Amino acid sequence: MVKLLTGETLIYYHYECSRMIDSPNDLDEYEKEEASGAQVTDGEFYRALASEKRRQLLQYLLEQQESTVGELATVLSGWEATTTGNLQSDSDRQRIQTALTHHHLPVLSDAGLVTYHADRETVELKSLDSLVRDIIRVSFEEGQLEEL
Amino acid sequence: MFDSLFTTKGDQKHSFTIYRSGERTDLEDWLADHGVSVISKSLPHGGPEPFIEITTDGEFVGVIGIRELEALLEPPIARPIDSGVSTAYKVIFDVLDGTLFQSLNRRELLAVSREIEERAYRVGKGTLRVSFQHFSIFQSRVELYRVLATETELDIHIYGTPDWTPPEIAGITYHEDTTNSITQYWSLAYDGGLDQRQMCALVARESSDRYQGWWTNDPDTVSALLQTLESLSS
Repeated sequence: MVKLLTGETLIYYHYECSRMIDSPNDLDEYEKEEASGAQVTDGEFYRALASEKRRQLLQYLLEQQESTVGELATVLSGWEATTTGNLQSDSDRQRIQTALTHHHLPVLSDAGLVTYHADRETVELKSLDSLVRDIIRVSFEEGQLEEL
Repeated sequence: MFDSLFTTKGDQKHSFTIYRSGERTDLEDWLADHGVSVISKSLPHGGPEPFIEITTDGEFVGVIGIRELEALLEPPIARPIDSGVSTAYKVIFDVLDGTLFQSLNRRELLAVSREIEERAYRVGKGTLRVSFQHFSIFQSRVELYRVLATETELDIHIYGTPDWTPPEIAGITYHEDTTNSITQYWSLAYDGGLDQRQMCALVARESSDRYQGWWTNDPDTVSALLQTLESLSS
């Protein structure tokens, strides 16, 4: 699946990712399209990259390889704290952790990017093709540029 | 006088973990210099800016960027009252509530004192009890306290050994400590007016020019401090 990417599809993905990041409002529409059929895996890959939190998770896991849900929640809270300049309290972190376990981690798992053990609350990055890693990095950096 | 409060503090209440990708931060050195143990965890490059996680008894309390806590290292003691820049300091006050610091200097104590004075100023009523050890230390704070006393309805009490004669200011009562019971202690306690959530206090004990101290928002502790100071008034 994602390993089959070629240089051409990299450009295509790159374009798609930029589009998604540019227009987060299109996401619902896009997710409907995606649910309707073909290219499910590709769709799931785009979807995985379409949220800032998931791009942050992937960026973190690209370096750390594995983590726990608790640590990921703390790191994402820290990301929020340093971006906004505000203290992130226990309830903020709880909210992030719930979003992780109920939404973001299943999405990344469905896209074949991570292995999420819900019982042990651990997350591992799967062995990814270097092109896939590049796309993840580019999408993360572009997402950051969007925020500037 | 406040020794029992220091004794009951016992072990450090909070644990601190610094997440960073680069070199050791100034904040880690500062905390280490002040007897607060910190552990650090590595963040990947391209990750978030350095931040600190605070836990109490293993329970998550909060995270905040190192940059926001750096105000500790350069205390804004010279800022005008109610200048609107105190938000970061309020966070520091809240986050480090109850942490026992070693080797604080006077400048750092003044910065924390300032947070308490500002809070009293913003609420504008209630009782503020203050010991800067000696009236001569209060001397540099007189103009600030004149503002506090004249622009609010605060009832202000200043304690200290009478090595200087402070000016009469409506709203400020001076209590001369001739028994040296307070000489060692730098302390401020504010009762929050009618709002318990605004209660706060700082206590520091001097030995050889440095201070061991802590601050708190805890109503029971603040009440105890207020009562101890008030008992000196009579």
